[in-house]
Amino acid sequence: MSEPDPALLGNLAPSFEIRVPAACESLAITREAARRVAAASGFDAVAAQEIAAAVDEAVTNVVVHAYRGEPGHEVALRFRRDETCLSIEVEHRGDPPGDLPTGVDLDRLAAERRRGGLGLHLMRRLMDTVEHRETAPGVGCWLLVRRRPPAGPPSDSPSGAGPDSPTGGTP
Amino acid sequence: MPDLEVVVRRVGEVAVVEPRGFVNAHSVADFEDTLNRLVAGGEVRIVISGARLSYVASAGFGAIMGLIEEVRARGGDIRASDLGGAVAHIFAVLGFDRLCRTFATEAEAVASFGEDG
Repeated sequence: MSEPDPALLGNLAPSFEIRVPAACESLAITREAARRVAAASGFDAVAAQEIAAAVDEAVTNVVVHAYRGEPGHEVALRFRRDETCLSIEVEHRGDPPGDLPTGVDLDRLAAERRRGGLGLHLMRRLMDTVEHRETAPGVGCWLLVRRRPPAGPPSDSPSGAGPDSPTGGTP
Repeated sequence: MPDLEVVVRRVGEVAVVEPRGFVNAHSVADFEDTLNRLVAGGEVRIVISGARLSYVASAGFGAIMGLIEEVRARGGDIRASDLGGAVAHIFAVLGFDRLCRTFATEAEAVASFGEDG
């Protein structure tokens, strides 16, 4: 955790929204937007990458499952920052995800030759809160929240990543 | 520049798959098609080299997960090497290292098949 970088923050409002087509081609945009907002909010490089990865999974879920890959839809990302956390809402008007599983068994998924089921698990590993809500009739929303650790010594992330964790470059 | 290029090399009896770039829902079809073609063609010893991989989303892990038991049932395996940075981090966060054996280098991963007997 580091202090927010004023140069990065610029005129970034505490709350704002972006809208993109609900398509896989939008993933690069939403991922990079999330990474930059996280970095500008004081999260270190590892945490910013993790938040970006979680947003990538939520938007993917909307594109692939809520809208079933159909063109012509939109997804809205709403970022809210305060002193305690960064929250990101990923709003859509597609199908709701149904009952969310509470856990994942990789061995069982592999034995069943399943290719899906990992996105929610990854989101939960990377964020402090992951929920899906119906915010209005026909409007669904993934809510992703990552707490901002107190300033000072590096603290644990949800994934257990420490300051020495590999971060890699920006994908 | 495309998000992903998938290069396949042969090292002895092992097919080395080297995805270059970014595997997510947008690009996973190329990665998945490559793995499917290899397995359909009888390849059961596969190493995925992450040396030039910048990121893998859950869709990429799903492509491996959907094939790994089929390959093992035929006496082979899918193993990974050269995972660095964000890829290694997500691999560990997901717990995927319990499902798929990983090696520091491609040479070690390839050699590990020879140790299977």
